[in-house]
Amino acid sequence: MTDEVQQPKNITISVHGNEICERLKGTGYFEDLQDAYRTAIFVALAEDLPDNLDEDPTMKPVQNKWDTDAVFRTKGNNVEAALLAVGVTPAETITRGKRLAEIGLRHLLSKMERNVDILDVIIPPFDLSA
Amino acid sequence: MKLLNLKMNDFMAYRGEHEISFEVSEASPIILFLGENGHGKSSIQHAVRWCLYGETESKKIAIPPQQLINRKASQGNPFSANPEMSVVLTWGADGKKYELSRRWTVRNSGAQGEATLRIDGGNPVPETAIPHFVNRYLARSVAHFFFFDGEVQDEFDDMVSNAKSAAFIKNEIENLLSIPVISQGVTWLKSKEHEQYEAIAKASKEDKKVSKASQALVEAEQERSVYVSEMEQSKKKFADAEARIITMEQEMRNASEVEHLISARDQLRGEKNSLKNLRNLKIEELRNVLFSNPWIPLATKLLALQESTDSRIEASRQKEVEVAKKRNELDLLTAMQRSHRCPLCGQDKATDETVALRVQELLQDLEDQTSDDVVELTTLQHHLQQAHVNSAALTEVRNLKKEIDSFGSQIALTDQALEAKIRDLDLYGIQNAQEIVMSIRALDEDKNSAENEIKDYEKKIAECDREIAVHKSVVSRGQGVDPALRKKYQSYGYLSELLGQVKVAYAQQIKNKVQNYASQTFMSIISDPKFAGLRINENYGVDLLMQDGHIDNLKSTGQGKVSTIALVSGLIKTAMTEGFILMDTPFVSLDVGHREAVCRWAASSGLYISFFMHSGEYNEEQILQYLGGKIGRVYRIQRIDSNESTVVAEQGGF
Repeated sequence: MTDEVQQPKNITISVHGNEICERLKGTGYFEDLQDAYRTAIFVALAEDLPDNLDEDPTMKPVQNKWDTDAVFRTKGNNVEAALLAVGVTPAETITRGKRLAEIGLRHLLSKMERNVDILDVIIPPFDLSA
Repeated sequence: MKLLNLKMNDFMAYRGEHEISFEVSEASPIILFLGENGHGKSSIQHAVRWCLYGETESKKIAIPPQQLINRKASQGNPFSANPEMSVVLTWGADGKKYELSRRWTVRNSGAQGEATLRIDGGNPVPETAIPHFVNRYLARSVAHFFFFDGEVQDEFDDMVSNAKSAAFIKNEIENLLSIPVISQGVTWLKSKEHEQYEAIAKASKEDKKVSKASQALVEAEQERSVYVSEMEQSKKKFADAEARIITMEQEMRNASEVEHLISARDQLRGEKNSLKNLRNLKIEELRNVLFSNPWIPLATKLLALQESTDSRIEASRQKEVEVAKKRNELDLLTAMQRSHRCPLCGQDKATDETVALRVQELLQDLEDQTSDDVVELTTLQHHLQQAHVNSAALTEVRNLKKEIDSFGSQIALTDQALEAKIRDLDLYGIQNAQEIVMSIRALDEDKNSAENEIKDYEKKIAECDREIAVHKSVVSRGQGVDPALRKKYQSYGYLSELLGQVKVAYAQQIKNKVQNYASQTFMSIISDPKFAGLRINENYGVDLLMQDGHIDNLKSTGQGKVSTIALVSGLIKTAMTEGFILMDTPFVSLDVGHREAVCRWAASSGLYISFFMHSGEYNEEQILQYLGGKIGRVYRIQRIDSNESTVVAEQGGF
C-alpha cells in the first residue's frame, strides 16, 4: 500500500542530529547510528513532543544520507508500519518520521546533558497501578 | 659480685640512718621493694650508685650532691650547722667482703666528699685506688645494665635506629666482657715486638740482606696498616648498609598492611571488572532487543492499541454473526407472511400479529446495527504485526534494564569500597613503598660491594702477613744479632698473634654465650610460639629469630622490654658469677601474662634480682604465686611526709 506513494530513495539527517546519534551510540545501548535515530522517532511520539520545528533541519548541511528502506522498512524493525499504526498517513511516514527523529534526538540530548540515564527515557516504566 | 648491705644516712628521701640488707640465700634470691611513685624507691638505687662511683644521675643528667642530701637534714634542722650524708655499701666478691663508705659534708670551708674502702675489714685502701677496685667488679660505664630502668630501655630502642648509640653500647658491652684488656695486651705485645725488631735492625745494619728485608718489612707493615684501615672503612660501610636495610625492611614490613590493601584493592578491581563485563553482556542483549523493536519507547500506546484492535475485530466479527442470524430470521418470517406457509415444513400457518411484531423488531435492530470497519481494523492489525509490536519484547527490555541497573548499583558500591582502599593506600604512601624497595636494592648493592671489598682486603692483608713473616724471618736470622734478641723478637711476634686470635675467639664465644642466655630468657618470658629466640647482631643490638628461620626487628614496646631484660640478663650471667640486677618498675608496658613470665623467669634465672615496684604493677597474691618461695626479703617503702620516707622490712614474709 505504501508503494503507491512516492518516497525519497535516501533520507538526510542534520549535522546536529548526526552528532547526537554518535553520542547515543556511545552510551552502548544502540547497535548503530540508525538504531539511535529510529528510537528517537518513537521517543518523540511517546513524549508527545510538538512536531513543529521552525524549519526542516535536514535542509541544512547534512552529515549522512541513509537509504530510506534501511531506516524505515527493514524487516524485523519496520518503523513505517509502526508509524502507520499510530495514524500517520502513508504519504507522510518518511517526512514526518524525519522530523520526529530530529525532535526526539534533541530531546534525548537534553536528557543526557542532565545526566539522565537514557534507558529511563526509552524504556517505559512498569505500570505500578496494574 | 653480690650486694650484701646498704646503709644510708640523710640520703635523699631517707632522713637519719636506714639499713637495708641484701643478704638472701641462693634458694630465695628475690628482694621486693614495694612503694608508690615518689616515695623513695629510686633513692635506694641512687644510694648504691652514688656510693660506688661518687655520683649518680637521672635520665642521663648528673644529680649534684646538694640535691642528694635529705632536705630536712640540709635545711630543716637548725641544730645541724653542717649537713652531711653518707652511704655505706657492702658487697662480696671472689670470697672477700668489700665495704665502701662515702660521705659528703658541707663545712664552712665548702662542700667536701670522702670515701673509704675496706677489704675484709682490713686497713682502708687509698682513696685514689677505690675506682680501680670498684671498676674491677662493676665498671661505671656498664652500671646501668645492673640498675635496670627505663633509661636502659631507651638506649636499646635507640640501637635499632641509631648507629652511634649502637657503637656506644657495643663498646660498653665489650668493656664489660674485658675485650679491651685483651686488645691492650695485643698492642703491648706488638710494641714489644717492634722494640726487638728495631734492636735487631740496629744490630744488623751492616747486613745488606737484613737491611733490605727490614726496609721491605716496614713497607709491608705500612701497606698492611693501610689495608686494615681501608677494610675498617668497608666494614663500616657494610654495617651501615646492613643497619639501613634492617630499618627499611622494617618499614616494608610495616607496609604489610599496604600489601593487604593492594590485594584488597586488586580484588575489588577484579570484582568491578567482572560486574562491568556482566553489565555489558546485559547491555548487549538489550541493544539487540532495542534494535529489533525500535517502537519500545511507544510500547505502552502501541500495545494498548494492539489490544483494543484485537478486541474490536473480535467484537465486530461476533456482531456480524449476530446480524447474519437476524437477517436469516427476518427472511424466514417475511416469507411466512407472504405465503402463509412455513418455509421449513410447508404446512399452512396463520399469519398473526406476533410474527408481524417480530419482523418489525428485527428490521429495527438491523437498522440500529452499526459495526466497526473490520477492514480498517484488520489493516491496523497488519501494521502492528509488521512492526512486531509484542508485549514480550517490552517485558524483556524492562527485565534487562532492571538487571543493568542492579549491576550498576553493585559497580557503584564496589567503586566506593575501591576508593576507600585507594584512600587508605594513599595514607600509607604506596609510592614510598616502591621507593623503599628501590633503596633496599641500592643498599644491597652497597652491602655486596663492601663485602667484596672486605674479602679483597682480607686477601691482601693475608698476603702482607705472609710477606711480613718472610721478612721477619730474614731479619731475625741476620748476622751479628744476639740469638737471645732474635728469640725475644720471635716470641713477642708469636704471642701477639696468638693473643689476637684469642681475642677474636673469645669475643665470638662470649657473644654466643650472651646470645644463648638471652634467647633462653626471652623464650621463657615470651609466650608466642612464632619466636625461636634472639639473635645478637653485629652491633650487639637484638633481632628476633623467628620459627621459620627469618630475622625480624623488635616491633612492640613489650617485645623491646622483654628483649632488653633478656639481653641484660645474658650479659650479666656471662660477665659475673653472682650477678645482680636492681630492676626499677620492671613491668611497665608489659601485659599481665608477660609480667607473670618475667616473675617466673626471675625466680629461675640464678640472678640476685631486686624488684622495685609500685602498686600499679603488682597484685600481692599474684606476685606471691608467680615468685613462689623465691622471695628472700620484702621491704615496704613508706612516706612520712614530702621530705622523708622510711623503709620497713616485712616480717614473716610477703
